[in-house]
Amino acid sequence: MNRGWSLLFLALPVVVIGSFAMAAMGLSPFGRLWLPVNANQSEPGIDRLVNLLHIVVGVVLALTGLFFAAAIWRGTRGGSQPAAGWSHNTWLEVLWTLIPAAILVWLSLSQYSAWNASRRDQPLAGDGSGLPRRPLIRVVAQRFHWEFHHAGVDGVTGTADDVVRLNELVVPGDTDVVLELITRDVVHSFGVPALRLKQDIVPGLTPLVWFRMKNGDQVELVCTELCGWGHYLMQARIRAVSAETYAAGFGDGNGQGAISSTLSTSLTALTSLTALTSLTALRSSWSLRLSPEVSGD
Amino acid sequence: MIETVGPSGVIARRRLWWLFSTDHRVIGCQFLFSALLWLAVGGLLALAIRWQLAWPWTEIPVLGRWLFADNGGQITPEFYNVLFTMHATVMIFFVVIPVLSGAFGNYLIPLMIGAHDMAFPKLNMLSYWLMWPAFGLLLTSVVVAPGEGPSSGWTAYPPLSVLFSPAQGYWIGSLLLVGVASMLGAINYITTIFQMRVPGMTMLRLPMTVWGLLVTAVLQALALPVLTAALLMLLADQWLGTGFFVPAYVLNEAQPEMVPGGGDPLLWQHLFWFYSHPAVYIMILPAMGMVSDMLSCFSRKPLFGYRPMVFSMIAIAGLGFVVWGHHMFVSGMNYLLSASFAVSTMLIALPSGIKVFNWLATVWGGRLQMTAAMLFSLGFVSMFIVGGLSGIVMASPAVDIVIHDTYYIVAHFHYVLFGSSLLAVFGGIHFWFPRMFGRQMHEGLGKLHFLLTYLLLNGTFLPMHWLGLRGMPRRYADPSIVEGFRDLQPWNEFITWCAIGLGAAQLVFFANFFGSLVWGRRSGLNPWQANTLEWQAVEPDHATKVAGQVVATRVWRGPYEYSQPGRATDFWPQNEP
Repeated sequence: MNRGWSLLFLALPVVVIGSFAMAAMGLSPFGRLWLPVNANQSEPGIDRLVNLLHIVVGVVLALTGLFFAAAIWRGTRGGSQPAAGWSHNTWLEVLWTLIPAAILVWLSLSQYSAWNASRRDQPLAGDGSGLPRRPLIRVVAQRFHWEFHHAGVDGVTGTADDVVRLNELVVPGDTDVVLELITRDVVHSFGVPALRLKQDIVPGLTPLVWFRMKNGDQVELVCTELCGWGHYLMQARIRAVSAETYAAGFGDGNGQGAISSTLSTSLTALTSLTALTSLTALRSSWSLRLSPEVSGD
Repeated sequence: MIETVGPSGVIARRRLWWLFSTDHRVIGCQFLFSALLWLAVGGLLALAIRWQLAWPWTEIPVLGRWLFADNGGQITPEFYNVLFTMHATVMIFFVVIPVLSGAFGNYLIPLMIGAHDMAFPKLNMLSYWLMWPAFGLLLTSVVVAPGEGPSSGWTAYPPLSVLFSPAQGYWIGSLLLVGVASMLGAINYITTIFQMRVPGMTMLRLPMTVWGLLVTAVLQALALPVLTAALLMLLADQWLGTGFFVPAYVLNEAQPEMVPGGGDPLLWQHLFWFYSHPAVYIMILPAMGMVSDMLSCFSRKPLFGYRPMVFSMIAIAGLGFVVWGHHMFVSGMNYLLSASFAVSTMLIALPSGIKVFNWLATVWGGRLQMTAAMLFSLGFVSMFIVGGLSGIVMASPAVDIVIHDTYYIVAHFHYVLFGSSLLAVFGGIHFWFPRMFGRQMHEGLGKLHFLLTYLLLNGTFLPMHWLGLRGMPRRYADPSIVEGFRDLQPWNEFITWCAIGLGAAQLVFFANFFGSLVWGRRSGLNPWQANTLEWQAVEPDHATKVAGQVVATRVWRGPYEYSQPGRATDFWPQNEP
């Protein structure tokens, strides 16, 4: 009976490694169980890194798990042989410090390129200036919806000709798109599993994200930082259309758009109004909290 | 010091024995019983969460009809957020930390170092008695405004926690009290361990349990002031209208619109994780120490590499102070900062790995006694390997982009917190139960409890890794509402069934624990033939039938001299010349 326990402890690494391998290969009784199919043409190398790290830790798990189970198997064999009395082995200890240290340093270094590609290497403007590309769309997060302010005809976000859409982000396909993210209230997070994107939007900061989608693709955007009761409802669709379709609806970002300025102005006014209303609500909730006696009415 | 008074005195004192004792053993047991009660509370909260995730918006059995009568027994999304906030708060601050530091710390430190009690027995009592007002405040926070309890997660990120959680103030108050309780314990443990060791008990003869508790106490003493200050600032933001963390709200460049503010929400995240990452080690280092002691004892073999074990524990604690930023890889802080936190996070795997290798080498060549306590210790090691390795995966900021705030993270910290820390606690309870209550827990039930817990634990938390890789976010009241995650629903149901089974398996433990208090087989003074001082008392106390205080006047050797050649027995107590 006692020896059976070593099989239990052997089963864990076997099941963990086996099931992860199945998940990575797409063998699953229901639902894909690995990273969703990548829809980002300029994916920074995260997929490769996820696979690499899982392979490395999988090997470590296999070795330690096997050794662990073997140690228990040996230790439960019965008989009258006493336990070993030794308590250290300098060579062994130096070895199992240096080898993991080398592996960990290698892993730390080898993961930088993906991080740099995700956060540092912003796409360049196409005009040969060598400057980073201007954000095409401003994403405004608010409990519990997403607003997308397209730069409009002038190609600059935050101006009167911005074209605003709710919970559906249309981007030009097959080209690098830079988004700037802001929030009106609490911390939200711009999470798009299929694009390998996740970026918290902390009030006061304006982080940028960038990606490139294939024309015609469609992915889901979810909020990935707790923002209140409706957190789980805060989702939107991201759709890539051809450059022409995009330009017809939202301006091509180079002053060649065809959107009527009256329409866009009224839309901007509308958003400002919505924003203002939510802000007033926020402020009144603030004053309510400061003066409890008002809360009766 | 009940056993030192005469029979009449004992009777007089026993009435208030459980209430206001300053005896470290009584306080340890008070922490233990309270933490077990809170464990049941936290576990039920977890089951309610799982119910909602598997069968969203259906009536929760029993509780649903009672709590949500107006709502057809269906919980609200607000209450879902309260549920996971409370589950984390209870499990972290009322179960894992108190049971490790409070229960085992109080009970074992003086006995293991040969002291007659803690350095500050009254502070010790106060530290326990702050836990109940703290729990009271936590309960108040949930009921004070129905449906509007603290719902911003245990991380309480502002502005959400300040502007949208009216009851958050009570939650903050509760944590402040828990913090003070921990701090009182910490300074007590540090003083006791440094000042009150029996002659001959050098620092490098301390059992690993004591080392784990000492390093933990230092972590608490250094990190808690930061949390306390941050909590007070959060409270001031909420109740006094200050602006430490509440930002100015800017609509657009043309129309700056302000509410009281000007603060920085990121500052909270830094301060919070500066405490809460070391808190992760606060929740595992004592468990590592206990497991080291149990593995050595039940392998009948010296602990492999005692000094590296001690130094790696100190290294984990030291590095633990410079890795907090890995919780904030996607927060928007400077990307170079993430790059450096990634290196320190990777490096903390090194001392953790050394500990694992030393445990494996301790078991290797041993003559294993497969008691329930040993099984839980082995379970700790195997779960810690899995949970530790997934930690290496998420140490890379680029990988964190895809798994941050998903179920992969949930899987990781449950492997470490439940899979490791709680298994060690169950092992420790089996191991020290005879010392605490003079009886042994039932071995068969203990093994059954282990087997069920081990299997169902993996059934519950292993699939969460895959849901996380798919991108399923944490803290979603209903992930099935997102089209992209709908096909994962069968897995959510599977996980919930395992969780229900896991909850039910704990009934075996509770039955065993409370049954053994009454019907357990009477144990001898040193049933496991262990070396450490707590087992070396000469005679049981006649009033409580529990072994009395340690009589060791001198320590001659380290705690792990098992199976030494030339001795008749395979153990060698620390106080035997």
